[in-house]
Amino acid sequence: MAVILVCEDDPHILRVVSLWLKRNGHTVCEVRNGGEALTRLREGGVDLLITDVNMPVMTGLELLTAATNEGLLSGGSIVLTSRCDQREIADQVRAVGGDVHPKPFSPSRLIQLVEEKLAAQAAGAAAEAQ
Amino acid sequence: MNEARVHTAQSQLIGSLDPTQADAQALLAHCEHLVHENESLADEVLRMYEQINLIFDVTAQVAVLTDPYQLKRLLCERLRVSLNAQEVWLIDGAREQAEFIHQEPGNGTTGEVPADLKAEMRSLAANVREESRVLVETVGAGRSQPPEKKTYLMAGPLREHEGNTPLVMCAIRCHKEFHSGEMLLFDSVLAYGGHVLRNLNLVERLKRTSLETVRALVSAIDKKDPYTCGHSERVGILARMTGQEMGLPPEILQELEWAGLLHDIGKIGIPETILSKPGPLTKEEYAIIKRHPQMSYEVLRPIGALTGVMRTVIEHHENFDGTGYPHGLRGEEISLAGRIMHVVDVFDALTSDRAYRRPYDAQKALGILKQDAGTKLDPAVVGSFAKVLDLIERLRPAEFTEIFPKTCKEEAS
Repeated sequence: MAVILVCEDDPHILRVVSLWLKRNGHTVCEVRNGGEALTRLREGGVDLLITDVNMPVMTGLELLTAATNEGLLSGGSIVLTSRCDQREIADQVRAVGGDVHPKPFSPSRLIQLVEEKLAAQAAGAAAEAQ
Repeated sequence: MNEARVHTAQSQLIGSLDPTQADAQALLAHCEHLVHENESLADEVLRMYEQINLIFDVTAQVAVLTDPYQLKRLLCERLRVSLNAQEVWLIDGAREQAEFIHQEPGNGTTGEVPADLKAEMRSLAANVREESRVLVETVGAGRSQPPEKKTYLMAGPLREHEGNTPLVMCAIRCHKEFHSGEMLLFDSVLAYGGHVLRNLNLVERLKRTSLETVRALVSAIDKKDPYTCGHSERVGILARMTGQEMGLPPEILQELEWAGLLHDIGKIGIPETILSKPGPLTKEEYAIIKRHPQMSYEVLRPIGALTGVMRTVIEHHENFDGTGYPHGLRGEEISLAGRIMHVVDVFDALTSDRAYRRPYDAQKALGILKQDAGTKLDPAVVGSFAKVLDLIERLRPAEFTEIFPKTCKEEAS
């Protein structure tokens, strides 16, 4: 249904999130850190970004800032994190069109969020086309 | 290492193997097995994540709900999502009526449970009640069908109170063998929910019992002094209505009603000869009567739950201009509740039968209140009270004439 870029340095989390999204009919692109994610985003064709925060090379927050500045995140993003200061970073994330979701994530809630964001994107695109 | 490169290297390596060789076959089989194991582990993790999030979610949401019915619906809804159930019912304990909490749209039924399912539901419900634990049954023709067609019915008790336990039952269409982990989760959520519901119910019952006890105490006082029959109840209601008219919050309204019921409880310490004296009181007798607010206060003081009420009770004879008793407080030194209590107490006394005079009608009594506005009584309270009176007269005229004026019903017999 949609192309989702998943950025996560923990291999097992990456596997679990990927599998779940694929099970729900989406195409998944996997990357291990913010740098790789930015490169992939620049190539285009990504509908949604799901990213961790604590990663080497470039953190999730740095990724969001850089990607938003380059206009690469029109679809918004979902941030999955095990950090303990989630409330504090939530505002930062929301400011760039993202939503914070704690780990361990709720599979049903994650799919719901993905669907909401894709729908909002489609609605936005339809409005623009008029 | 770049994932694409790994895949390429893997493919090349596998390509270079001779498939007829036993070793090569064993290696390939092992690789496949690893992939499969990996996916199974991922599935298990996803299941666990879902379950633990249900617990997080339910405990957080449950903490804020105070309505038992809303709570039950919330539990059913959350269970439905996490268990991926197609239908969820809440089965009433007493009436054995099943309420649909959720039904998949387009299932062909419109809230009506198919007859064969009904029988299975009833039988499962009976078993669950008897064994008092979560049970799962495979239903319908699905029993001997391949897994894709199986429907499972799971039910468990929601132990809200003793006897007549409601049940939560769900129908789940599952392509695998039903998992005991789901049963444990179901049981956990119901146990926790039941516990919270029990607490909510207990709190309700406690409040009711307290109120009933207070009413019993009050009626004991009223029986001692026939001329104040029902007085405390009326004062309580009028005080509450006046408080509502003045925009006070619900907790204060409740306190006003209680204060009304309890304000004369100290009269139990006043000799009956003085309370029921037909003629005017001597100075000494009046001094004794003036002790009753303080005595009411002392009776109530040990009851921690009534701290808010105590102040109102001791202030109900204080005058706006500072000439009242016991402490001669004036104006805003008297709590608003105390000022309200004074007004409604005076009004009800004026419109009641007393040993020393006939009751005044409501209009005459209101006139007296207005005369005393600014001196004995707070003018703002008198104003609001007048509105309340007007409201009662307009909306419930029959009740109005029944209440004002009145004589003690027991006198008639």
